[in-house]
Amino acid sequence: MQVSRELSKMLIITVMLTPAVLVALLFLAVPAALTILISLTELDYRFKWIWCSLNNYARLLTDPTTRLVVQATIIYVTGTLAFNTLWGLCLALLSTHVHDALGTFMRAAWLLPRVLPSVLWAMLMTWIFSPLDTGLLNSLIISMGWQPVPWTFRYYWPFLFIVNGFIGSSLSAIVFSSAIKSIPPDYIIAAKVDGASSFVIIRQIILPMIKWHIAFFVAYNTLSLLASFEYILLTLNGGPGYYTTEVMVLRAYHLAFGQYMVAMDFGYAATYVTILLVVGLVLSIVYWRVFRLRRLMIEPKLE
Amino acid sequence: MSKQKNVFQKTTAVFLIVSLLVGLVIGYFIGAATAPAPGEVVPKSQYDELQKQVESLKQQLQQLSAQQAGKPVEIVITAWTIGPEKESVYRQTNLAIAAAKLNQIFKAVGIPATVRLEGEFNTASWTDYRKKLYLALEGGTGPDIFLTAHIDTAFLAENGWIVPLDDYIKKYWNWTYYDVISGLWDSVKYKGKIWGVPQDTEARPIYYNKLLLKKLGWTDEQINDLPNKVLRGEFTLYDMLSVAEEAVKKGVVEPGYGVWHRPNAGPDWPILYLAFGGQLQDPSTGKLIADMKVWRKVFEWFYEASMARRKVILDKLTSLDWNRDIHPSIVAGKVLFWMGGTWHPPQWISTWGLGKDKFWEMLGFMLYPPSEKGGKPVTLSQPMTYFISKTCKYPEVAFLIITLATDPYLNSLHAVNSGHLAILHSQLSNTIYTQDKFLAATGYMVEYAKYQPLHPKWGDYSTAIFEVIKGIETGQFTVDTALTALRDLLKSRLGDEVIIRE
Amino acid sequence: MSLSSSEVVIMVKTRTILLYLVAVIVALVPLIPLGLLFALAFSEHPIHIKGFTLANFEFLKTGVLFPNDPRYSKLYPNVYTSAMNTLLLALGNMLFVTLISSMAGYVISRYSFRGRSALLGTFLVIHGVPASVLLIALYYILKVTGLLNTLLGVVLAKIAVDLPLGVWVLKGFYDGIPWDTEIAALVDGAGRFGAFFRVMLPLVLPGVFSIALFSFLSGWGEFVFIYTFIQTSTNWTMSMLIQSLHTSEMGALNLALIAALSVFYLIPVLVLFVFGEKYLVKVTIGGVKG
Repeated sequence: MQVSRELSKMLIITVMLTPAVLVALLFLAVPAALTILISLTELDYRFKWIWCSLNNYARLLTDPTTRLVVQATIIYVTGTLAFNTLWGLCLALLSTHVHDALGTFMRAAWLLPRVLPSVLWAMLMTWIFSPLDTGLLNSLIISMGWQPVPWTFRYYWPFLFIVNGFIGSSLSAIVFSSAIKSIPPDYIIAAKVDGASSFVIIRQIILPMIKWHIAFFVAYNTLSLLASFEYILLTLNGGPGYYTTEVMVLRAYHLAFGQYMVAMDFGYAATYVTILLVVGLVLSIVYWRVFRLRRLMIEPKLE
Repeated sequence: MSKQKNVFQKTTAVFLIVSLLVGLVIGYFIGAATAPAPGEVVPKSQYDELQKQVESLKQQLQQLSAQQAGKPVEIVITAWTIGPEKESVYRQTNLAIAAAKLNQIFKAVGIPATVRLEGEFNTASWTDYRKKLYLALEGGTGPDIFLTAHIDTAFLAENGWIVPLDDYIKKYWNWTYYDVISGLWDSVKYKGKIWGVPQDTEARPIYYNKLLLKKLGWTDEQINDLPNKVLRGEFTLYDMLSVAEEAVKKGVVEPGYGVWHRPNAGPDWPILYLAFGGQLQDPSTGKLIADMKVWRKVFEWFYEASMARRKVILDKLTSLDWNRDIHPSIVAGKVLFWMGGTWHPPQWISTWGLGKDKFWEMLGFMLYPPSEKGGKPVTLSQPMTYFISKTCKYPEVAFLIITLATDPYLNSLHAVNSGHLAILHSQLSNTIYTQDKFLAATGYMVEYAKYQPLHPKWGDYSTAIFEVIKGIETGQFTVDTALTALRDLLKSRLGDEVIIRE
Repeated sequence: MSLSSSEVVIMVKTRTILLYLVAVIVALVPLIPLGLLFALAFSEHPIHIKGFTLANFEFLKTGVLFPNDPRYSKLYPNVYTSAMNTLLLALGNMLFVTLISSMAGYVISRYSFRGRSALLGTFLVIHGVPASVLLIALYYILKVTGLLNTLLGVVLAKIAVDLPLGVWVLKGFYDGIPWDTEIAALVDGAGRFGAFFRVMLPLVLPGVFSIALFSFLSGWGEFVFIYTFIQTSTNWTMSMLIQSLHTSEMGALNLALIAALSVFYLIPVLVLFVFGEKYLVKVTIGGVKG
């Protein structure tokens, strides 16, 4: 009896788990390993495996654009993270301090940019913030008699923070607001009875109680931002000018798929990606320890 | 009684002879009237020559047909071409017409085969087209015939994706290749072999806005003499800058709208280097050359023109979009000097609604001025080329299609409608071509045109130039830091394929 | 100085009104670009918002763009072809992600087996990192398997990217069902698979809906994979079509037409969003908290 139950358990697990594992393996694990391998070759549009050991990494160190690319990545990640976290917090606080209907509506409205196809959001943002007279903001400004502002040309980082921030802050807003809503109301009621103002309540009760959520979001978002590039690609494409917003992933993408004479430098591009993968892995392990994520792995309830 | 019979016999005989003579005379005149006009019948010598030339092909195809139980061989030739501008669709349609012509020839000479042309004309960007093309060529699924810029020759030849055409060109020399303007062959010669057939060429002039020059106080005479002044070496690049600066100062153009160029990477970038006398390729080794002294002069010019100094070139220029910003601004008459190409006027006229008359009224064109007084002006040409891929099963048939498309009439149709220049001598006397005012006015430019060097790493060099100039214009580089950046980029990307001369 | 009670009330009232005002304005901010898009779609001028016309929606009749210029229109795929490709991608992603993750989530939630923590941990880590880092390797894999330039290849890649989230979210939902329910079903003689299909699955239906909705929308809006892996224009999705109209090197820019196409592209998203917003919220929370 015991044997056949074990067998049937194995069978079920296998049948129901295999598709997921297979897909994850073929299209996630294998590509990750492949990327590392490619970075050790001179693979390009000719698709020939020419091993060159660590030459690509040496090239990366001497490449004059590396400094700018790394700098752009750091600015992008920290700036967008700050926007996402802080603005998401504001949204969460705002939406939980008003009537629930309005709060839900607010969070839903802010979820919309995230749900929109990226192409449309990018198109709208570039049209609104275009530095030329034909942009929406500038045409409004001109009609009021002022000078047009070169939005995406001079203030490109704030622009990118806004474009990506509108997408990312909806995530933090939802997470934070659900965390806030799960704070036992007694704490808040007690504080109000004691005569504390809303600000004090926020600072001394709410924020400390959602500390874990904030930290988790920061950790999680850092990982995603390290490898995010779609909106930069669609709006500024690494410009304006000489490698101003070219983050590492975007550089890799351009090297592989965006060169003028189509050299498709996969080997060199994979170098950037491998570094990102390693950084991501290290960060994940750190987060694992720090957040004691084992807690999330509560033992299964059945067998 | 017998005397009467004799008379009757004699009369009949005379009658017969006369009618015979009359009949002969009538018949002769009828024959003369319905005889084919001189030249309508292909002289036997020509017909024999044709037969001789296609003899080997005929035998091949006859063999194939025999293997198919006598059914005519169905040959499908795929062809990929690109504009991207839609006005250049003739690059594809001319091949289709050529295929039809080839079918007729096959019928006339008795070759048991039919040819059908398939394929597509692309309007995607050059990067996307090249990606698609190279991927297909690499995977062996590429088209039989494809069009791309001559500059790809090095890439394509090094990878063994194309067939060298010297033998075919020699074989069919009398069909059309004697007619090709000889300088064009240089654009497709790599490592001693000819790899493609030129499809068209162009020149890259600088357009100037006549109405704006008038506002500056120029007379009509002065304006119309400008291209000649450039030719005589009396109007230099710095003269152009001064004129543009004056226009900005006097408010004739907005700051930054004095001189405009393309906002992305492309063939134009080495032109100023050539204008300042720089050499791009070492003829003995084939390596690329970067003469830093010349680059200093180029960068100084761009720095002078930038918003940091004379405010002639807009700092946002490299962030602009062709469709949204560049062409509309030129068509609206806001830009004084435009570093463009001969294919732009047809685009302005057909897609951006600039009337033909308005174009001639508003815009003139000249070569890139020399760098010093008394120097020679320059421009760059990037001829488009038909190539035949190694995977083509019937390369000679593909070659014949290209040959028949390389025809003064078909090529002139393309040239006139898309603003490209002649590749055949006889085009220069073809009525369609000569009637086109624009092509007539720009024809002289081909003499001064240079080509980009054929080298597999040229794309990296060209992109580096663009990136550094972009940095100068946006205010990120001074001349010295720009030179350092270029040097570093070239060393990093080209290694020892580039000779850097200090 | 203390305030009188009525002053306090006024202060509180003003503050509340201010709060609500700010909240309303903030809530409307992300809707403004959307409103502008609609206004542009009906605009008479190709670049600015002016007037009202339905002319930009001409393409709805036959799906052919630029019908007045036969040469130009041949260069773009039929709008309905692109829409069909988009639908196939979205549906494919939805079906596979939902199916696979509901099974995997169940097993991970209910069973203990060797490698469970490792598997779960892997999914967590992968989920945090976007697919963009794998584009190069995916390109190579798709090319080698002959799936490059096919919709199937894109669907497979998309499924892989959305799967970790699906597994995590559904596992969370399964965790929320008391195991008594399942025990009861088993006792009733339902057998393993029976218990899964007839008892568990219906109970996690909200989770299933959430993931279905999320993966559908994710596939509907996909761009980078199409841009990188697809070369033939007949395999384009709406996102690629709109982007190519927006940035192609030829032809005057007609933002109004692009906006009209965008509205056409956007309608399913908006409808699904309005009806399924709360499910999407569930996915967001489930994906982060686990």
